[in-house]
Amino acid sequence: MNMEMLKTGEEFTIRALKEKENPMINKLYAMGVKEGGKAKLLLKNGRVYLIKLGNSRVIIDRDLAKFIEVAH
Amino acid sequence: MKKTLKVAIAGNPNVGKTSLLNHIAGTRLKVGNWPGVTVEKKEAVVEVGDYRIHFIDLPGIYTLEPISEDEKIAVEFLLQERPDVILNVIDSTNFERNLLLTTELLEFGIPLVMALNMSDEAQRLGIRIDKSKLKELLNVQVVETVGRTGKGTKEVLKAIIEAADDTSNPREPVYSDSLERVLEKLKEEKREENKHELILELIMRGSKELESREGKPINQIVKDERFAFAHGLAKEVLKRELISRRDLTDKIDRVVLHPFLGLVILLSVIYLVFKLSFDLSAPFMDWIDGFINGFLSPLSLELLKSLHSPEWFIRFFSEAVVGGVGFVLTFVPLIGAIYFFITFLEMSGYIPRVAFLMDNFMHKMGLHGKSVIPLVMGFGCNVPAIMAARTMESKRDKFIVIAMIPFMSCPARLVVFAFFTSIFFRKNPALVITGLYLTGILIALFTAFLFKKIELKGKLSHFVMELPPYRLPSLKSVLVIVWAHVREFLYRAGTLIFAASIAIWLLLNFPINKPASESLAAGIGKALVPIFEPIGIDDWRATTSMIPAFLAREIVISSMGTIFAATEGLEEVQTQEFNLAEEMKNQVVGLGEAFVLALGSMLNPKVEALSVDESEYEGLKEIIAKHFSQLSALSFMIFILIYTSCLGTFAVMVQEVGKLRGTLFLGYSFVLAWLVAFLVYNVGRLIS
Repeated sequence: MNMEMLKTGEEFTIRALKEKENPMINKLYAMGVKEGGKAKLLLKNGRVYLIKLGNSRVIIDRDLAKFIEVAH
Repeated sequence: MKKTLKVAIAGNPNVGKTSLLNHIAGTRLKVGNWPGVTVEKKEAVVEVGDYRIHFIDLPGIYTLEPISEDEKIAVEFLLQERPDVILNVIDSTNFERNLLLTTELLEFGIPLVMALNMSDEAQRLGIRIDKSKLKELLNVQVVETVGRTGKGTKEVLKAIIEAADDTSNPREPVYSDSLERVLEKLKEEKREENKHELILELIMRGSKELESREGKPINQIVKDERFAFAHGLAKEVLKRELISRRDLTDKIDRVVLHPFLGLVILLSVIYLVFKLSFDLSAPFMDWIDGFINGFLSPLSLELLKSLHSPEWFIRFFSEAVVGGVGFVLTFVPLIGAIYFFITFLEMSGYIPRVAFLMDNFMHKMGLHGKSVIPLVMGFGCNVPAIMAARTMESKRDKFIVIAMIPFMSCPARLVVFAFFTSIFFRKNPALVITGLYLTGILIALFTAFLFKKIELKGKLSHFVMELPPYRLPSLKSVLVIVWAHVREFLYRAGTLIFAASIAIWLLLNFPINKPASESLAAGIGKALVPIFEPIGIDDWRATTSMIPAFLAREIVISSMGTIFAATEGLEEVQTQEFNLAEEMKNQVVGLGEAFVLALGSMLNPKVEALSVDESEYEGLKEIIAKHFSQLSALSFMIFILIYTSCLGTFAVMVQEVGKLRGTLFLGYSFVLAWLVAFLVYNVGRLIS
């Protein structure tokens, strides 16, 4: 499933990243959003999501979040 | 002679690089742009013992892989400039993630100092990093620092010198045998020592052998190897104690990022920044204006007279030189105040949150949420607003926002609007002024739409951004940045404004000893009449007054006063006898009053700096009433609203987007102003 299905406050595991050639996916990867990583969906605001990953908080737009496959 | 060391500061965004550099550099910090791009560049030269250390702050990046302009700048700098030492600033609370960039930096073989920043926060979170083991494993210098307080700054300087003096380079990261074998072959073939360059070459060429074995493209193989190295390194030196700690940032975010409450807080913050910046700086701006024109200018006049200088030189010096410098200086309190609050909000972690909060709304206009801050600032003064647009990450968004800002009507335009509406629209001045403000917003939106269609095509870039935790920035850090910006403004914009004010003075005063109606400016003004006639402005005195108004829009009124005075016999204010002792006393009292006014304005919830004194220029109003119609006055106001007739704005625009784009924009605003004024004037004529 992708992040759209998650509820605010839910914890999840990143299963896969699609379109690894996309520079923004590359950036996410370098920011630590990578397979096996555990994260929490903190907030949703229209087009953007706020996730917590370790000690960092990352804003991701919905179009980009579609490339991230997650699992509970 | 001192030995010069070039030190590149590299690190992820929000790791406290700037704070650390502030503590190292203090007032020697300089801000500017990387050549050809609108990415901010901070640098400083610090002297330590026998060394002159030149620090260059690279853009905050997560990796050296080319994602945006930021990574390209960093890689180009490391390859071409080859710094003597790299100062790698690391957020200790996110140690492993930061090690990816460290791994890539180690590939360059350049002596490296790791500043384990935010060591206090890491300690509170139970994170322990084994410094000596890290030092031993990588053969680099390691220092614990706290950017907020400046702890560890001296040790960083010492470590940089030690790293530069050490003849042994840091240990390059070692990857899997298969990758190392391929790199070794390439090394022999290319006779290249730099591992990063070898990897770039390998990615460009590809490696069938490796790719088929691993079942993934070469760039993915390299990426995974770097991650594996960073992970392995973290495992060796990182220890975590389990400390359960309530996260204050998450709690604050629940309120600050709430869809409704967050907006209320944002509006309050914008209002407060507006109110504090303008009301605290306005009395000082007035004081500087008075000090220059009421004290320095007459004083220089008196001094030059006593030296028997020629009359034209006396006027040139007091009006163009002193006046020109004075005009630049009047901006300083406002720019300083706005930068103080913007820097405070940026360093505290609030501004990145605005991007999250406003993204939905701004996205409808094809922009990211962050653009809302400089746009709103534009209503106060376009100059610092354009400078504030630097906080935008994407070049495209930055250009669009900078192009929109000049249409946000500032108080200088309000002075012109108040003057004309009080003559021609006595029944409903507020309605006309509100209409003009809204027209400005519509023109800004139209400009964004147009620029996106023509020059800045392409979809809105994806939005990925890290939100730092909330932090209380130290006053020193904020002030160092404010000073760096003010100094940069004085130097860059100051030189241009100064030169232009001299040129405009020459136009208004040449040929010497001729009346204003026969000056070069009047000649140009008369030649401009056919251009302005279709928009209802057919008096050469009005078109001439627009030439000095390029300095600042409100000057249009005073220059109209001068030119109409010369031709219609309007009495000019007589210059009073200059008494040095009394004037000095007046200036000191005036400065005291400015403090009282600035503090007193805090008691009034309204933004006082935006109120206009309508009682000025009474004599001129009668003359203007005879020479303008209601419709031509409206057309004139629309022209003044849209045309970027402000040297300060033009100067910072040139600084931010370059001479060509800045000048093209000036032409665009002129044509647009003329077209809209033409439309309004002629449709109005048809209706009436």
